[in-house]
Amino acid sequence: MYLARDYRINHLDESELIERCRNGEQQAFSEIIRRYKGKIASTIFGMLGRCDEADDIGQEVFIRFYKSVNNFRGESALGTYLTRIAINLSLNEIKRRKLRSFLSFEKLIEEGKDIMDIDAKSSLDENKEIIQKAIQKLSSKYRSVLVLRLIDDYSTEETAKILNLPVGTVLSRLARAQIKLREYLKPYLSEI
Amino acid sequence: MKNKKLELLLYKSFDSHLTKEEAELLRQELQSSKELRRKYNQISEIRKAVSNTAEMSFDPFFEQHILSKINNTQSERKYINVFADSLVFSFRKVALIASFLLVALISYNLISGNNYSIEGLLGTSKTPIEYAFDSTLNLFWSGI
Repeated sequence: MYLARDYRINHLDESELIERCRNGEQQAFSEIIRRYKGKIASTIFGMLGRCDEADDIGQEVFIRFYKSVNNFRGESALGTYLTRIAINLSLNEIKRRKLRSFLSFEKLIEEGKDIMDIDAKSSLDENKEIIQKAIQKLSSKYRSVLVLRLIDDYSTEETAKILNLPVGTVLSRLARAQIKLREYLKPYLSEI
Repeated sequence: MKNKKLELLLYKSFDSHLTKEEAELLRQELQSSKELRRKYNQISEIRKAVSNTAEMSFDPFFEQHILSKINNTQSERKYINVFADSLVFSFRKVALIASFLLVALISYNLISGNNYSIEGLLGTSKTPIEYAFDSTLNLFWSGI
């Protein structure tokens, strides 16, 4: 009986799930979490790197959605809506970090660590940590376009919509972000 | 200047459609310039590596944590609602008793005296300050 109900929930489309969620059906909400947690994880980890706060921020994304499900008008896809919340919460966290590092010695310690310290011999394919460190070095406006476009695989138009920016701005920020990444990662790039 | 323009065109080619002229220009430059080809390969390499960082997941109990947080908030809200309801109920009682006492006081003052001012009705007639310190005048003010 339980399995049959589970099976039905798994096959519901997005709008039906949202409707059931509005009616307080917790199974529908769980299904939404199951469907989108991977995407939200890649957005948050892309923006913040591996950190203790990432899980809490991920949970907050879904809790905010649950609380405001009655206000969700379905003008954008659910994934896009959740990603927008994830990006905003990540940007808030970046601001908090900046403030914290301004008030403490954290900044000095972080500055001491360089991408080069990780493993100068490993190639990009072998070491995700190098890439993550390099992404973390980008400023938040470049980081957000890069994460949405390259990690979450949104189109430039979708990225522009999520960030509420013109497509031209997204393209120029993407180019700038990649120029900076190329600078940071020069020692690891192959000389083909 | 030309190199800068070409570099931007190169980046643009990964994320957006180029016009026929732009595509042709880039194709020709890629054929002739080894440096541009090297850049193209490096950008592709970076993009591939960045895309590969995507496979990450939250804590295995991620979903349970969310549901328990929501349930806790809901039970807290329920408790607050019960408290607010009981507060409204008890204050309703107090308000009823107070209004009954007020009506009784006004009725008593109306029956016992002939002062129809607000102070008179509520039994809060004020003694002016100059009478308060003069015992004779105070007697006069009190109507004795």
